[in-house]
Amino acid sequence: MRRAYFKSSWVAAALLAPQLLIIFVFFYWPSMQALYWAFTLEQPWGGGNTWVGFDNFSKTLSDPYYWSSVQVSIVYALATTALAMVMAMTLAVFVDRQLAGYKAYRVALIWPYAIAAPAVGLAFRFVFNPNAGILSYLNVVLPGLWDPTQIAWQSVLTIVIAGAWKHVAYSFIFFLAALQSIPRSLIEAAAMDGARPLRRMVDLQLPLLTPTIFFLLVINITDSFTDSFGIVDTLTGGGPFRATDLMVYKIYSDGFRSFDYSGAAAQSIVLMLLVMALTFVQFRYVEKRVHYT
Amino acid sequence: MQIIPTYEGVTRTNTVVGGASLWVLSGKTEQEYKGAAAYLAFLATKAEQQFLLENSGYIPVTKSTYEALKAEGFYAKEPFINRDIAMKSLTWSEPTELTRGIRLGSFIQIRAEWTAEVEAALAGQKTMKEALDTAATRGNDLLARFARTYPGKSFP
Repeated sequence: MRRAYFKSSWVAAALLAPQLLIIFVFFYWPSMQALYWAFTLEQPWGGGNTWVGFDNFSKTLSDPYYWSSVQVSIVYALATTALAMVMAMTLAVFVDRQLAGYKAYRVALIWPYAIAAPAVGLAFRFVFNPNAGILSYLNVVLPGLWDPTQIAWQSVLTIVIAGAWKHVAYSFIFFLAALQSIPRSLIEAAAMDGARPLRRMVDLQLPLLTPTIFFLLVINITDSFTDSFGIVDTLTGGGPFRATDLMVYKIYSDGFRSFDYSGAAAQSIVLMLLVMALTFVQFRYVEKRVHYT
Repeated sequence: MQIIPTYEGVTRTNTVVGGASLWVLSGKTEQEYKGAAAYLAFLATKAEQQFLLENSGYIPVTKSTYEALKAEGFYAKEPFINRDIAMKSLTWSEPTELTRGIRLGSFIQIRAEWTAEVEAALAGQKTMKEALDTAATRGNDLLARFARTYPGKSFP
């Protein structure tokens, strides 16, 4: 393959500059600022700050409620990822097999990806509302059976379902693309050898899908940790009694509702380290089982 | 419509005021303060308050407007009948030491602590006493933190 080079390096630099500038202004600069704030007590309306060293971190990490927030974030991330990926995979297999009406499915299944998280949250509010939602019929049968505003695990369940629903579309697109890139001849050869659809799925398609599964695992887990705010805010507001106070929601409420910028900055650093550690673990241990072609 | 009853032997006081508030910060020029004052005076006129409460269901911000509206019979006609219950409850007694409205640092965080603890008590996870004690301890920690954010300063 022929490669093209820029004759003078300043042209390349000029072409790169806008992108680099955007990354610097919207990522590196705020991140550096947050890192600095995490070690100070920042006055909310400006006017100065005091250096406090690791105080914000020790305060955050010694709070038992912070650890329950970490715990529920991990539960949320794992449950959402598992639910979303299993559903997306199932739906993608159906579409890939071109069952009747698959073209309509395909569009309908990609659509939810374009819906903003707060809108998803609001829609699920109508479903899960214990007094007026669809699930309120459960309370007609057995009064008090369904009430996510009072019962912690039901509250967690609502955000998991809403979060997973939001993620299905994204995973679906990738699974479908991956399934369709498997050569038909392989599938047909397996079929001629007498492998039925389920056997072909387990022994042929699943191993060939592992790179996609691994990619989606990393993306979905990271996303569940950092992008759950809209759903929590509209569905539960972190309650009842902190049961759904995910790490990212706690950062928002401490930082932007209560103006404790320093505490929120320290929590952001902890969240970032946690996501980095999780991603590292995935690349170190899970990726070994991935077969790239 | 009536105000919610109290337990026997309890003296009713006014309801603690809540909601948003407007602040004028220090360190601005004389002219800016004139502008801010003019704006606040404008918001406090009867016409503006009436516009706000007709369109938002909010309460009047000054007592004089409330009295004037009452005298006009504003609260006697639909859809504003019984809207003055809120005012009655807010002005029930002279504000006492504990009901005069709260101004403290980290107010929203402290209120969130209180809410979460009381929710836990209502769900039967702990006794109300434990819940309120925890809320008080955590609230005091937040206040101490706020004081350290503004070293050497005190409320005017």
